[in-house]
Parts: sequence; structure tokens; C-alpha cells
Amino acid sequence: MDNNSTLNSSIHITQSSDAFYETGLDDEFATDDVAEMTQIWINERNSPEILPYRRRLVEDLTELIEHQGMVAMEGLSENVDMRFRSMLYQTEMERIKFLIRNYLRTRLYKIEKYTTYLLNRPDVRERLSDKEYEYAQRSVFEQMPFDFHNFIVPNLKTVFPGNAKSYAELLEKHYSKSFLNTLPQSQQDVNEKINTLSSVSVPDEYSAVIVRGKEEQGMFELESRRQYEIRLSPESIYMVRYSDIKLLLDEGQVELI
Amino acid sequence: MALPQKIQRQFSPEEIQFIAGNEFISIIPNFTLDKMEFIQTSYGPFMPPLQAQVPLWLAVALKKNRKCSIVPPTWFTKDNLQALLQNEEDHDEFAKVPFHYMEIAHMLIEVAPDEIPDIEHIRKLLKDIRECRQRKTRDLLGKVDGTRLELHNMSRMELNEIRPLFSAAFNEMTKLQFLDNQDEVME
Repeated sequence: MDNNSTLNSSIHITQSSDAFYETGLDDEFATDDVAEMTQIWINERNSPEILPYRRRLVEDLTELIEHQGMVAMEGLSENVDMRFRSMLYQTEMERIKFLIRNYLRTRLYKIEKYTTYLLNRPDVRERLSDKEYEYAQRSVFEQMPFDFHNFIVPNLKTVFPGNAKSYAELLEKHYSKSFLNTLPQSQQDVNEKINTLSSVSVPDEYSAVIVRGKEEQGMFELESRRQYEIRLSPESIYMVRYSDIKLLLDEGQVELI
Repeated sequence: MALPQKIQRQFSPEEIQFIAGNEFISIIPNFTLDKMEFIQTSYGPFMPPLQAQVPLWLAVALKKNRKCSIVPPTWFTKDNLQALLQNEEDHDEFAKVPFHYMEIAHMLIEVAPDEIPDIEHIRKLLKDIRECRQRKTRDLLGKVDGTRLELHNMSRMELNEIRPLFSAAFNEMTKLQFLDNQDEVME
């Protein structure tokens, strides 16, 4: 974006903003990024598992906020009308920033909760952004999710001074040192799975979600029980198992509420 | 923690209010201004006494700066709410309401009490409607079967309120069904 030459006048800024729309967003023209981000955030908050990261959407909105921020800054030094506009622009920017922040925090919450599961499943790992993947992997002394972990962190720091271990690796070492090595060899695996009981936290794909169709699409048979149907329509709201509508959510045919 | 505990299982009422901020409402501006280019889209021009359509968040910001009056939506009158209550009481199903009716009502009463005729009566009607719908919600809990539960015509705030209890019940029923299926396999 060529902003340096146009910074002197707010009128020019407005023109460059038009140019920005034309060049920066043509492949997503006529879509409402803010409305989409809102729904993506609501979906992420309500789905038990982590959903694919929407990199393009977050990047586009971040860029738009930065740009609008400059417009708003310019307005502050102008007349009363412009200051008034700037105040309103700021209000909208704060709303969108809240959306993006809360979206990212929701994802971090899931990453902390399901670290081992995420790192062991390449198909799920693909849904993370590079930074999220790094976060799951790198040493996260300060971000331990449970009090229990806060308690053990000082000890871990003594055991591995200045050593950048991944969160997952640290936990595994700790479990091993503190009690796993006293167990029989066959029970030492931290990813042990006995029938349906697993020692790793895994998202519950059968958990309840509230859902509605985006458009009128008629009846849809539930995956788990074919004799049950739901109507896909903006007017029809259901509580169902997440696993039953997972595909529809992927395809963008339903939204979570 | 990345996400405060109290919002891990449901949205906070403030967050639902935030979502409702995208709903459109009519205002009458008391200032003149060209179209404003926001990130989402443009709003305006603003030319009193012409009405303009803006999202709630913008209406609230303008109203708080005494820059507009808000035109309450047609359903938000004493007569229409009375009719809605009647309808709600006459039928077992939930009556159709605006998806964000509670948030919009809350916002209007909070920021624009001066523009709502019969505000006390309206408050009372809203409370009666809410209580009538809550009774229906309690009956609904018995229908949770772990497969699918119809929640048509419930509003976003109501859905969010029932979420923790209803999903816990739903998940328990799901587990029971799995146990059932295992038994069948064993037999």
C-alpha cells in the first residue's frame, strides 16, 4: 500500500482506500468480512474441536483495521466533523479487534486443553496457524493451563535449566520422572489407550451444539441415526450432536448459535 | 487461562449483546454528514429529518453523543407486545420473536428511555413474555433425548441461557444411548 505520499490529506487517504479495496480484495469482493468473522468466532466458541484457522480472513481484517486506524488518526487533527467521524471509526475498530482477539484466544484455549492430541494428529494439526503450532510445541512455562502445572513448573525449570522444551515434551518428562517410571513397563506410555479410556484429553465430538441452516435446503438425515431428520433452514434451530453436523459445518451449510 | 472459565461453556450476556450490535435499526440524525466509509460497509448520508438505517452499535454511539433519536422497531410497542404475549400464552410452542429481541429491548430501554412511550407498561410486558417463555423452556427439558431437540423460535439470548443445562442433559442422554448400544451388541 502506498500511503506515504497520501498522508498529508485526508481526502487523498479516502481515495487510496478505494484503490485498496479494488486491489486488495478482488477475489473476495462483495463478501462481508466482518459478518463472516463474527460467525467464524461464534462457531469456534461453540464447537468442541478446533476448526480450520481462517488465516486469510484474519489477515484481511487486520490490514483493514490498520488502514482505518490511519484514516481515524488523520481525522483527529481535522475539524469537529472529522473528529466525530474518527470517534465512530474507532468504535467499529474496537469491535472488530475484540472479535479477532476473542477468536484467537478461544483457539489457544483449545490448544492448551488438547495439546497432545493436536500434536499427534497430522490432520488436526493442519488446522492450526504456524504460530499456533509453535505455541503448542514451544516451552510455555507461563501459560500452563492448570494450577497443578503452575505448581510443577518451578521444578521443571530446575530440571531443564535454560532448555527450550515443548510443552508436550515437558509434561511427558515430568510424568515419567514423578510416577510413570515406578509403573510396569506396559503402563508407562502417556498416550495409553485402553478400550475407550484414553489418558489424553480428546475433544468430545458427540457433545451437544445448537445449530441452524443458513438457507432453506430441506430435510437432512442425521449421521448417527438415519431415522432422525432435521430441517436445514434459518428458521429451524436444533440441539444435536456435533458429530452429526460436522460435515455440514465444514461445507458452510449450517452455523452454530 | 486463554479463555476465562465463565465463558468456556456459554457466551456472557455482554457477548450476546455485542453480537446483537450488528442488527439494524432506524435513527433520525440531528446532524448532516455524507456517507461514512466504515470497515464493514458505508452508512449514511445523514440528513435530518430523514431516517437512516444503521447497526445498533452505531445507533448507541450516536445516541450517547446526543446525535440522533432512535426509532423503536414496530414490534416494540405496547400493543404489539401485548399481542405477542397473548399469542405466547395461547400456544404451547414458542411464538416467533425477533432473534435478538431481548438484547434490542434492553438496549432501547437503557439508552433511549425518553423515546419509548409507555415504557413502564412495556417493561412489564417484556417480563411477562420472558416468564411465559421460560415456563415453556422448563417443559422442553423433558424432551432432551441425546439425538435432536427442536428449539425453533427461541432467541439467541434464550438459547445461550439454556446451553449449559441442556447440553449437560443432552450429553448424558448420549452416553446412555451408547451404553444401550453396547448392551445390544453383547446380547
